[in-house]
Amino acid sequence: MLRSVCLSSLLGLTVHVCFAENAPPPPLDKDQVQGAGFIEETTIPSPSEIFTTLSKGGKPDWSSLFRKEPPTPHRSRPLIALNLGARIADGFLAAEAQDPQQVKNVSMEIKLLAKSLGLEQEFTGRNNSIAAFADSRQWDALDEELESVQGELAAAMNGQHDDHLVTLMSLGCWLRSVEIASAIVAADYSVEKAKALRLPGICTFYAGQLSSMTERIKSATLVAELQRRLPALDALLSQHPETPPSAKGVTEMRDLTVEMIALITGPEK
Amino acid sequence: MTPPSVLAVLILATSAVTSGTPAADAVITCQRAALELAGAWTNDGFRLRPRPWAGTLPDGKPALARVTLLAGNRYWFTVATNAASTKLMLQIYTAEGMPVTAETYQDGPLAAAGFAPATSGTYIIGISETAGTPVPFCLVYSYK
Repeated sequence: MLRSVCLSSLLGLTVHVCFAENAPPPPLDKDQVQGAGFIEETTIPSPSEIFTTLSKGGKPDWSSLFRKEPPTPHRSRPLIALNLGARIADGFLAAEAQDPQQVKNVSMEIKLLAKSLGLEQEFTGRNNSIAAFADSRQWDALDEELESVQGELAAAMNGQHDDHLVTLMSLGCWLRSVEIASAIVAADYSVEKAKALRLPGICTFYAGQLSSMTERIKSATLVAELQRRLPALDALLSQHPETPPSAKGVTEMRDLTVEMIALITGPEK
Repeated sequence: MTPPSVLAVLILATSAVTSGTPAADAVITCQRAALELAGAWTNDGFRLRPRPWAGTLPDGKPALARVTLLAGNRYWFTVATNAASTKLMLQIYTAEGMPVTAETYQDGPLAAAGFAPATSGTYIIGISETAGTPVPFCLVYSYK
């Protein structure tokens, strides 16, 4: 059965496209399921994707989760990359709270961290557009910009053969996103909200990535401490589809990620 | 399409490429086509994730990747190839490989699938081509 639907194209023109409701394809076989790739950019949801679903049915108090303390200076590049990722998640939080000044504060912190990694050039233009989007309250555009920032920084890190920093930046962003989301759900628990906290397999992916890093990086106290905690976090995020995390489970998730983020943002050991 | 989406076309050339690496110009052409179609969903209130999955379809097999979808969100996955004569298809499966009922769009080298999951978790996206030819592709997705 075909039906015609009007959609406005990117140029503002009206186009007609046909949607087909086809017979379902055959199931995938076991090898295909096991072989399905984990594509970091596609498999891991963006912070905004998680926060958006929590905003349905009431506006959470996002601003209560802004970090008040000034960032601790770090010298270790892996630690800076973890903090950079966590700050990018803070950018999404500030956008969700629709707070232009907080967006600009976070953007400045991202710029300083990028500078510490020799990536200031990659971020300078973005810093200006982030501020412009915040001032004009274009929150969707700001979300896209923040994700593009992460993509550009990752490309620049790859260009410097710092692939491990890409993973650590992504991990920092992921952990801070889960910390924020679990804190929001724990503050006003409902089964509906808790459904957003079923995010299986992602911590296992990061644990595998950390394992494949050089001995020098993975034996660093912080990286080893994070890796030790990832299986417990994965277990909390991998509940059965029909049973979303309980209030207790969400609280445990929040406490665990608070602990992991404190390790990342705290003084260097 | 929002300004960052337009800028994204330029960034995408430097993004990670998987499932075989097509030539850079092929990647850009596929990405531009996918973003143009995804612009329709953006105009309908969907937020675009600007970082794509790009690669080449395996010979005679679908390209398969995991995605993590959240209950309460609606999604549109959009894929394009630069091979004008091909017919791309896009399917969504559960983590166990069972196809889900999705709204699908197909127009030769462009395909899309819309889905609103009832449960959060892992799903699998499958991209295939009727003749099984290893053509380059680029997938982006949008959500609201």
